[in-house]
Amino acid sequence: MTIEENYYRAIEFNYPKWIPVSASIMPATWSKYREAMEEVVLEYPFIFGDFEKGSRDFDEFEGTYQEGVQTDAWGCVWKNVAPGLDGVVVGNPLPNREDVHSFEPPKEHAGLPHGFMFMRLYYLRGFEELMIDFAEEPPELQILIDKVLSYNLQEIEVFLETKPRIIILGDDLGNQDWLPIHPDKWNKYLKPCYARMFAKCRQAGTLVYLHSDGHILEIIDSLIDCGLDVLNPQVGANGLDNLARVAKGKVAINLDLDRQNFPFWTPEQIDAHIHEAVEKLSLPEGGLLLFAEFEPDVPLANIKAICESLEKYRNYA
Amino acid sequence: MDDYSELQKCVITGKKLEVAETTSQFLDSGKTAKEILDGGLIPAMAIVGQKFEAGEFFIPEMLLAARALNAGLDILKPLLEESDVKPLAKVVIGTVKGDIHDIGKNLVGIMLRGSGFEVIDAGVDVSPAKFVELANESGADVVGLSALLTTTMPAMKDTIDEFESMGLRSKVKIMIGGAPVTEDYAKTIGADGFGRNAANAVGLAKSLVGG
Repeated sequence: MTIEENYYRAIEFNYPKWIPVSASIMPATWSKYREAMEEVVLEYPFIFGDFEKGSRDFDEFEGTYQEGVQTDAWGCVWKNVAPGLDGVVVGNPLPNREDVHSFEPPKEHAGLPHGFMFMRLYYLRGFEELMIDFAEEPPELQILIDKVLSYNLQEIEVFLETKPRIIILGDDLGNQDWLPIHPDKWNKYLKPCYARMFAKCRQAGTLVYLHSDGHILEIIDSLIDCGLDVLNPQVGANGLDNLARVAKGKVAINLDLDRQNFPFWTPEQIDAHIHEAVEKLSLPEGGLLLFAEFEPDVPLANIKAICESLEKYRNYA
Repeated sequence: MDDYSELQKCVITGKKLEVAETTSQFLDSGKTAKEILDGGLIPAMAIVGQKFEAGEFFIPEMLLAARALNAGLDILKPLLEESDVKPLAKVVIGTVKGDIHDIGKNLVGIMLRGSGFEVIDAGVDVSPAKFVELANESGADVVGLSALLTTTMPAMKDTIDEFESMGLRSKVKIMIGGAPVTEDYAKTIGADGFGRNAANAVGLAKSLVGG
């Protein structure tokens, strides 16, 4: 069985041979560890897939990973002071509520980057202004949501022309230990958006994958209702037991292992964490995948320990 | 006119115009700015904080209440200054060097202001030297350090070390917060406390200044 076949078996609860494992290396991490990082990647093909030695430019930072200020297709101004890590939106094109009426989403295909729906709303309005919109519920809130949704649906349509098996989306819906807005308001304003976008994908036979940082326990059921196939939630913000209670067996979980602790843990603590995750979330029929993200502050020894434990527990039964 | 419950209700439900109107009415009835602040506005914001901690309020409701409170504060501020009423304490807040995330830091600032603190917002990507300079200049009682990234958490320790090396550590209480930050981390780097969210940070700041 290929890694790809096994991956889809896990997602579709169709008895994978092993728990799919993967990792993402931030550009800044590549830049820091360079050849040593490459050695790790080459050592664990089940985690990193096919990789050709020398194929990575260690200092290549694209898009908002570049240091400096840039404006995206929506008019949102990004700033980055830490090259190789994510930038931050510092300039919002719709600071005043009335700006929403004349606003038009990009006419060109700017894709569906991380932060495509909920985050896009506050990238456009500014976080505090958007929160006030959710409190006061003026007509402009729904108008803006509809404009962003309309753009997203068109982009999804373009994406689906290639008949992909899965669409990978990312939108951070939670804060560290709570939702920014009440779940009722989330269900009123945002659930219909995700439902329409996910339905479009499902109708085309494309699986839907969503990454979200933050605490999202209270809306996981809603996301499942919307037609979500794979959820990529953070352990630290949600808790393993809570994820087991709310999501296990109902939606495939690509568990975002606790990257907030990777810089600080010992290899033994890392191993215990991954062991606990598979113990609490794995099922013989599948539905569990494991994912790790490596920031540049994670010691190389810990990166190796994470890979070692992923390799060890992917065959957990 | 001694009952502040209506004023408090207007703050809690985010009714900006009514807060301004009721505040003016209290002043007209002979109440001092400090009496209105202590009896109406600050207790209202404390209730907002409690509701936020209890999961009854979310960020929209908290911000709406804070804006309503500001409508009252705007009226009272010149009078408070005139009568030399001191804030509960002065707090310098900022996101540490290398980090430009400001949502959490701004929420903490809003809640602190609404709770009677004077807040000096140092902004984002703030160097340890800048924190020391602002704290020193303003005579701050508390310094609040924010970080969203594990990669910038060491800058919190650098900032505390800077206060130490400048001989100013004993003059300020230092509290820290941000998504990856924990109580244990606060202890490890020698901070005086950890605020897990904006409402919690207010309680912490109060306890640090003995309020």
